[in-house]
Amino acid sequence: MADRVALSTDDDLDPAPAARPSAADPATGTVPDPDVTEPDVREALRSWIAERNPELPPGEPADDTRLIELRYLTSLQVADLLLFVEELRQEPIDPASLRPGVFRSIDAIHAAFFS
Amino acid sequence: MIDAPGLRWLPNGQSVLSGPLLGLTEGLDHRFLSLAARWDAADHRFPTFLAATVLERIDWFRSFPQLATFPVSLDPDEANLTSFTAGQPVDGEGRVRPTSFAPIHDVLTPAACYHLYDHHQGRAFDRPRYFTTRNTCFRREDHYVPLERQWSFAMREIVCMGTAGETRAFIDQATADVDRLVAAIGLPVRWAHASDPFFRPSENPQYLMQQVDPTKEELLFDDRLAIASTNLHHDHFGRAFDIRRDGEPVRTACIAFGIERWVAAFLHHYGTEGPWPAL
Repeated sequence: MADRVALSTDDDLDPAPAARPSAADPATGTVPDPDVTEPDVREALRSWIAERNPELPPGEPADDTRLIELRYLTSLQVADLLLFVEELRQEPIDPASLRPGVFRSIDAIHAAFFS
Repeated sequence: MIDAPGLRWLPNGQSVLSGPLLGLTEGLDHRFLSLAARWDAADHRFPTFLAATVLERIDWFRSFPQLATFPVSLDPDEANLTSFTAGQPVDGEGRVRPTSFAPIHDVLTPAACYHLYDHHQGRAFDRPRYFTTRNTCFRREDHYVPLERQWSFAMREIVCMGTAGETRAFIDQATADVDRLVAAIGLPVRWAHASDPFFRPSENPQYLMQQVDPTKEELLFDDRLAIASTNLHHDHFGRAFDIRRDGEPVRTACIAFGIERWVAAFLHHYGTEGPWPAL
């Protein structure tokens, strides 16, 4: 189950940490939020990573920090991050569609799932 | 099914090699050892049994239960042994008819390099270290093919323990060295991304990680048979076995050679009776 991290601005994401919430899933009641901006997404991802790596200095990881190579993101966390990205974008992601490099950095995550 | 002088295929998924084929096998391993010499990698010879607790540290049994082969023995209780000998120990279909087994504490080596992480458990390094080892490895499969997919087979591995940069440099150098080797002998191969054969992969976070961060490359002969692989483990083994480099969990990487598969590639490409390229 994904841990939730609040966006840095007001948001109305479904607070229920349901498994694989989907905009198309009436059980979650979620709808895409047009007010969630690119900075919101980047900050939410940054907070999610920082919560799991308390040794990181404030403001880290940077958008281009290599998350996997530097072990800020491990195999035990990657499934949870996938769920978190699904919550953020309010759409499910087929794990089979994941391509190499999509979780390399916050830049890469944004480019793969929010562009 | 390949048929070559000096190759005898056994119905339990294993092969017997003799004569020139055995010479080819040893020649290949000698060549792989010469690659290891670049890093002055110390050779190690480990037993074929590995304590199950070693693989439990990396959750191997949940990831690859279908591959496991265990060494088992009878419960040494005299009554149990008496009962075993009083019956028919092996039935007409070749099945052992055990009475009671002793507890199982070991597993037959599924990959040669695991011994090295256990061997260096708790060590702290201040420079990159390189090791090599060859072992007979065991992987239970649903079918077997002579030299290509066997229940037991020989694997040579070269392992680097160092920093992220050192393990990456090791993989790059090893890949370049193998490229030179296969180019010199004219073997048709290519490198390809690969993942490990996880049990129920969609439920395994390590499989998901391999999808988004490919750390395994296989050298495919004839676009189908993996004869070698490079593997970047990040700090997976460093953390599991508390091996450190400058205070941090060490990064590890390895290159593995499936020796019988190289023999298969030679037989398919150059013929079953030679002459084979000099190694």
